[in-house]
Amino acid sequence: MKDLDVAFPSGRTTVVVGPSGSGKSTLLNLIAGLLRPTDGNILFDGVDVTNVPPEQRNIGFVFQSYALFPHLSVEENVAFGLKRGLPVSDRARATEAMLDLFRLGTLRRRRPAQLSGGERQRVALARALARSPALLLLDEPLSALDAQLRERLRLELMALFGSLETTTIYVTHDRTEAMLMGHSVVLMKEGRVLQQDPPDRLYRSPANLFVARFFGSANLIEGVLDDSGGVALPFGRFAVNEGGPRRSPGILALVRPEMFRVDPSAPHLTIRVLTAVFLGSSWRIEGVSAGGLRLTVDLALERVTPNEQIPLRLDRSALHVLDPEGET
Amino acid sequence: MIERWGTKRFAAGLTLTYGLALIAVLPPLSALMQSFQPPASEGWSGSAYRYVLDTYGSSLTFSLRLALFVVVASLLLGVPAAYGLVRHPFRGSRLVEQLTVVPLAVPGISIAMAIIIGYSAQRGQWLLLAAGHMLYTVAYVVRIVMNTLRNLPLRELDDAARTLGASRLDRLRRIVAPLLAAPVALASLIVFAISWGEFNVSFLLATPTQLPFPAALYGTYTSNSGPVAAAATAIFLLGALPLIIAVQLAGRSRFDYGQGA
Repeated sequence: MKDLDVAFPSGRTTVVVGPSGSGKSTLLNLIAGLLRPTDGNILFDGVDVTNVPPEQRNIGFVFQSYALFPHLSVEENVAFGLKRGLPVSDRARATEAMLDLFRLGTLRRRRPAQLSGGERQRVALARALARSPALLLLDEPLSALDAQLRERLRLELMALFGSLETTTIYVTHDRTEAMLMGHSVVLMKEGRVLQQDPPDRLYRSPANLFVARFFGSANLIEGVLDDSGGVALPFGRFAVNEGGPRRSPGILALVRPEMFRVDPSAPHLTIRVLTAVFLGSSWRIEGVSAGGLRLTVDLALERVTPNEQIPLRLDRSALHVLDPEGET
Repeated sequence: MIERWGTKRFAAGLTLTYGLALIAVLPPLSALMQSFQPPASEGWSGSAYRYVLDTYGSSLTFSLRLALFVVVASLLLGVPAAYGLVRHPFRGSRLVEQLTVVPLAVPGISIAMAIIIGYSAQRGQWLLLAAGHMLYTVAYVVRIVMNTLRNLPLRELDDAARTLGASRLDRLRRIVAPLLAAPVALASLIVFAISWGEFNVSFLLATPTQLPFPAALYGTYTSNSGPVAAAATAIFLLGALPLIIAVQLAGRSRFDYGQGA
């Protein structure tokens, strides 16, 4: 990890996402103070905390395995981080508030071993939040749970973060989770930040091919830039949106599967269906054009048959283009 | 007719087990019966128990004090060693771990002789006796405590406590100590039992004023009547029995360390 420069907006949720080994957990541990940087600084609200030990950073940390204290009850786990100087009544009130918020009242006497995965997760969150931390750090908090529970808890967490207004840094390898939960998403790879943006910008205007492929399916269509700010693709000429590479005329245009629609009257191109997968609200179709261009398109059709010819129109006036030499 | 697989084999196993248990229980039982007869020798008129307590009472208290000392000293050596080996492993720490077990495999008489020859000047000091016992006992402490530490995500629990504002001392007091209470209790009882019953070192390093009870027991067998030896054995077992029960209770884990789903 080197030359890393990230800022996390206060009061909001930032998701750090990336493939395993990208350094996202290392970054989180550096912020928590559990790891120390050999070089560089970590600032909280402008104050340098690089040499402040974690116990004095006023953070809440939710571990991937939750790291609940096995010898303590749910209630004792939640109260563990409350400041020592606090009057007993304040401690009790803070504990009670957390047990209520996370619906743990009836489980208060249980030990962690007697809890389900979802309940442990709630205890870990309650314990981290009980001391009203200035910064909440979560390391893959949902990855230990089954898919159904994960989906439900995602929504609960989103609502929770929305109401807390605590600066939150959420690390995950799950791109869906990243898109859903972050006001801002940091995509990391091999110890570097590739892009930090709101989810919609990451999806529509990725900085490079890696980002484009990481978030959703992408048709990357070869094209040539012209002098008047347009791009010539095999099936027509389109405008180019702001940004994008200008070094070489040869580029790749990013066309997401949902950017096509069926249009028999004025099609840009016609594809022959190779495979079609039913997604519920639409079909994901792999097809090939007469010119040999392979495309992935999402279409809301009643039914699709193999080898069917579908006339398509690219439903965008301006396209995002990428440098083919960039990060892949 | 439907029956569970292996029912017949289970019944055969059960019979064998109880048969063997009977063989193990019968001799001490007959000894116990004998112990209630008055000893014929030396014109002693009271019970065999009275005789043993009067003659070997000092051995009993010496053994008790020795065992307690060995427990404390073994814990002081073994617990930090186990903690260090798990939390800060180094090149060769596995080897160190294996080496602690070596004394258990060496015949006790060899160890006793080695101590006598190596520390002849210190002979007669009770500390040497304690050291002889600790050659065995420290290994148990290290093993038992290491086993618990290995099964605990101690590093992560420690990190979690740090992020919750706990200082080093706090973490030792509120996390490490309570988590180690059960294995330390178990190790203490085992160490006590070993020291209490150890014969080889105790016998060979004993002096008339520092005579551990197992060594004294030897004397009752060789020089006294049957009832006296039986009574001495009964008293000896009486000291070990509460320990065996306590070990069973301590071994019953108070909580599951498991973090998994």
